[in-house]
Amino acid sequence: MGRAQISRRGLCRALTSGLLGLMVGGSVRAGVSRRLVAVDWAMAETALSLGHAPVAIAELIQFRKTTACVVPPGCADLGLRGGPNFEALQMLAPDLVLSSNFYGFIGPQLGRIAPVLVPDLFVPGSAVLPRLRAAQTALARAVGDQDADQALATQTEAEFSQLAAQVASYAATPVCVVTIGDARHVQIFGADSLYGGVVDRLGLRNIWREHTQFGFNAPVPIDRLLDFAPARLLVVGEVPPSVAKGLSQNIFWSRLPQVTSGQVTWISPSNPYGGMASALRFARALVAGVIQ
Amino acid sequence: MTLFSLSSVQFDVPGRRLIDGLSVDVPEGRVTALLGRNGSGKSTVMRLMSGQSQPSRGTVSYQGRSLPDWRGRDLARSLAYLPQVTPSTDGMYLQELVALGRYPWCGALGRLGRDDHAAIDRAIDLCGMAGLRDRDVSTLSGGERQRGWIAMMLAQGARTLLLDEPTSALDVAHQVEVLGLVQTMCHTQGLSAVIVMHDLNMAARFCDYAIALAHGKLCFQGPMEQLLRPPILHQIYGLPMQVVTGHPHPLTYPIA
Amino acid sequence: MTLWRYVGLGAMIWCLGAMWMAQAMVPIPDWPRPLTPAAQLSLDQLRFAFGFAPRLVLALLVGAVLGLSGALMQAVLRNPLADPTTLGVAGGAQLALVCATILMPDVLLWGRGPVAFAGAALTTGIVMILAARQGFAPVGVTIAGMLIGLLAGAVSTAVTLSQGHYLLSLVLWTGGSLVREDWSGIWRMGAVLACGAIGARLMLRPIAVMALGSQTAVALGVPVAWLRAGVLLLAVWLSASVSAEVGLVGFVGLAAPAMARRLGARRPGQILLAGACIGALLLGVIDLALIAVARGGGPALPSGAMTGLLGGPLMLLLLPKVRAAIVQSHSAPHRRERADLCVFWLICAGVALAAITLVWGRVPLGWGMLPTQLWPQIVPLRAIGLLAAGASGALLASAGAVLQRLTANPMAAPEVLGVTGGASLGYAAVVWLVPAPGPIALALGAGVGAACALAVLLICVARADLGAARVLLAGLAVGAFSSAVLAVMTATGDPRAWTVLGWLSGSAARVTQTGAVALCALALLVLGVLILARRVLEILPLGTGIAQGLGLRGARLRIGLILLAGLATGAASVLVGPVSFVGLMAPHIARSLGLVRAGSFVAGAWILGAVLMVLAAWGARSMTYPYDLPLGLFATLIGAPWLMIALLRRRGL
Repeated sequence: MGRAQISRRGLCRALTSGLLGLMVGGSVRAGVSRRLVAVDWAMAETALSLGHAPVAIAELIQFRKTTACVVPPGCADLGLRGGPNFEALQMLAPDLVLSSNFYGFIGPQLGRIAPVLVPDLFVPGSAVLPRLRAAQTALARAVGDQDADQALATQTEAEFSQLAAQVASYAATPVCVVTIGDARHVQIFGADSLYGGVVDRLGLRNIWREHTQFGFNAPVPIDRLLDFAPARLLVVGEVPPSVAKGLSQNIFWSRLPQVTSGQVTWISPSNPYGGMASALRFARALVAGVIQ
Repeated sequence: MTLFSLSSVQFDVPGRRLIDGLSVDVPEGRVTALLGRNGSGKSTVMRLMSGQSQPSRGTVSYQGRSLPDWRGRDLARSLAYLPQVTPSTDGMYLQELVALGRYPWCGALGRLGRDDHAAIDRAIDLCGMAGLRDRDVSTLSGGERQRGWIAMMLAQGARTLLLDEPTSALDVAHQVEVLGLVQTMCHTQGLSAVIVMHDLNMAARFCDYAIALAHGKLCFQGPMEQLLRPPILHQIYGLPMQVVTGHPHPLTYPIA
Repeated sequence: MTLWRYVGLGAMIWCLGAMWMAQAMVPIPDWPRPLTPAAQLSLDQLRFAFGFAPRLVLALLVGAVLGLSGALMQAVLRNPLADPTTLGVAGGAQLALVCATILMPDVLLWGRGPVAFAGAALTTGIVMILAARQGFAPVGVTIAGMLIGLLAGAVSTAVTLSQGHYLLSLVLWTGGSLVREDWSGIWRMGAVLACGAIGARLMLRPIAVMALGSQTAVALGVPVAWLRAGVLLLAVWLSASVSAEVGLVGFVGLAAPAMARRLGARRPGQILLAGACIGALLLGVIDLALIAVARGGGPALPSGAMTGLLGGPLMLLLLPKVRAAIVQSHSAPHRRERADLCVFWLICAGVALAAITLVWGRVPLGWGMLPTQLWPQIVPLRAIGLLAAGASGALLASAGAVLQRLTANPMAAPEVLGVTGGASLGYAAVVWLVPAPGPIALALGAGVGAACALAVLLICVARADLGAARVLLAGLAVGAFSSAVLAVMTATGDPRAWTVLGWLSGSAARVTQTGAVALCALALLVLGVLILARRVLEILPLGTGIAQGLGLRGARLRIGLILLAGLATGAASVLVGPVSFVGLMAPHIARSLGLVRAGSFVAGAWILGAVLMVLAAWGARSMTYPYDLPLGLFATLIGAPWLMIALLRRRGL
């Protein structure tokens, strides 16, 4: 309940300033600080990284748990990503709504409230990081802060390059990035996902050549992992106790060479639908895990 | 004058022939009993005569016109049919049920005019149900309910009533009540009726004419008095029957 | 014995398929011997012995258990529509598992079986209490079961949403998976089947007597209450075991016994045995096909959701000769004296509620009135949503009322008859095939889909003279098929699936002003047509005999009314999503209020549908602010308890 109250207070504050903005009208809009709201999590992270915190983010409860960025306390919850609360959105009177191709179907409704930025972020078969980079530039241009974009991009590239250098000697072994769904299924990340993009950017070889299935339930049966026996197995996220029990009894899992030799790399949970900040956090965790 | 005329009618269902070359004429202005053993095709003939089913071969004509040539509502204004099992009426009041009988006259949209109300009142009065107008049909006794349905047929303004075993679930008193009503209608109002019956004694008392079927074929046709003879009854029911002279009607019973 | 010849044919198809797949996986000489330690096996052999082989066997066992469970329920309730999903058994098991997973994950360490059984037993208990009030009349039992199943599903979704697991809430009802990696589940399922078979054998003779009806059975000395409880307990346990082991597997329990009867099984023992065999083969063949798809590089599809893909069309094919009859109960609800007054008060209540929800509810500052300075901004927005929700509720309720009158069947409703499923398929097809579809294309798609579903239904039952049970079976088959296709679409993980899923959850917030106005106009038009046609609606439920006797053009009227119902459903679905079960509930609530004459019934259902959806829109908006709940979910949370109370208070629906 505590969190709900915080977010309600946040929304209240955001609302007051929204009303203020409505009354003052154009003068605020002309300024550099524009009122952003984010329906898409990757775009929310991008905005946060650029230093233009959105006044409201969709599914804030889960977002706070998974994001790599610091969410300012005044930020309001916008409801579901696929079905944001249009009333709250209206009351917030935003200048720009950050969406993405995932939520294209609510584009018209969002467009009636404010201009919408709808970059194509996750497209099957297409690398994610360049798209995130392009979206970042587009957002920076929209808020009139190209300097922040430039600075952030340079900083990100530098850190990626530094991390890549650290794992350069491990590049010979391919990697396989998975999250555990239940005791029988995993999700494997390809080059068109955030995790896969990071693997490529670090100069490592991703053994999963197929597209990523952005299903909600993990789609790949665990025995497929046996095909990738030589690869380094990178497991992202935590495993609930009942699933861990089932996993230990799974004959395919226990047969995996990585498991028998104790060489599974467990990586702290990240946000597969996040932006560059989540990508960097994942890269750091990956490098730390690999080097260890 | 013939009311119905069936000529070499045949009716098939997959794998079975229910009616086999039936030719029969039903007279007008009389109460006709349709008799026969279970499965002899009585209900099928009723459905054929009411136009609910079409014969596989042969023709059924009503008042000299073949049934398919009749327009649905014109036929309904002249011919009323009551199925063997009456459906549940789901909270309908008696007068509302009877009012449904005016459908062939006023259709789906037309208002009920003075004539319609008069016909409804008359039908209810004729059936002696004036006191029950506002009763839920499902709360009526079996005989009352059956009389209610007959009132609906009368409100239809039909000159011909087809009744499929209207008395099968009724006690003797109610049987007399319902059949007596039909007989009075025919004799005083000049209506015609065809009734599927099982009870020979009831048929003898209330019907003027008889048609008997056996195995989908005509077995007997003629005035009621001629039916009540042991050889004919044996032919119809496959059972030795005895006929005892009684007054005003003879009595029949099987010899076990 | 053609029955067993068909079963043999099915078994042969399955055997050939399994052999072919097995030798493609591991050449026959290399097949692992039983009991070889896993360490000595090659990778392919390991997959064969611990993945492929157990999965094959499990599919057969699960199918058999479900077929037996469905056949037992159908026999003891004398109801061809009874099965674990329609009686709410699967819903209860699923609810318990969802609650345990989200709220108390440690409970699952003790095993999923007891949790699933507890949930299933609870919901079945409630259904049986309701059923007992109805004297176990098949229609009443089925309605009670569907209501409880709906309620369980709605509560499951609400629980997941309240914990912020939005994604999970969307996939709760995707089917169970048969993927295995050892034989332990097979032993468990085998033991369950064996116990079930023994139990069924022991109770076979009294079950056969029960087929004559409970009064005859009592007269013959069968302890009916005990027998019913015992058989149901067995059937519930069987289906809960499946829920615990593999998750939700739909349709097999309904279809297998129906097919057994169609193929010539008559005696209860025959139906039980053949039902189990056909269930096993049905799921076995479907699962083989899915394995082949996955091996060919296709997506790994959940078997539990795919049963409709084969079972649906097969059922429709066999339908003309399925022997299914529902014993209609003759209990009528009491009738309200002043129906017009009741309708008047309903209108007043509806208008008042609409006015209240327009300005009162949850705002960012808590519960209360909307601050007046926000009115110009928010009230128009709410009004559009309100109008759209109310109009779509009214349309769905009208469709339900028409279908119930038309088929003289209190269980008919656009959702039950697969019309909503058809609309969903049409919508999904447009999303898939048309790049960047506009609202008109989507509306057309959903409308055409609904009409196609109705057309299939009409063709299938045309010869059967719209017999109540058969219509419902056909509708359930169409519905199972369309949900299977939707599950395939979701499983591909394509981004377009998001669009469909977003629509499936249903929301009034996305409707445009023109859309809302159009919906209202259509709703009023439909109401007008139905009021004008009330005399026809009065006569049609009396059966074809009476209707034709009164000179009614049965066939043409039926097609016209069915098209009207399809149009209403399609229009409502396009804008607010395939909202669940308002079309079933609103007419029933109208009846429970004593509105039984056609005119007041249709008008009452229309208004109640609107009120239900207005309330639902308000609740969906306010309850978990700022998270919008799916519209249909809240409508179910309001409507189902009301109906349950009505069922408990009074005998007869």
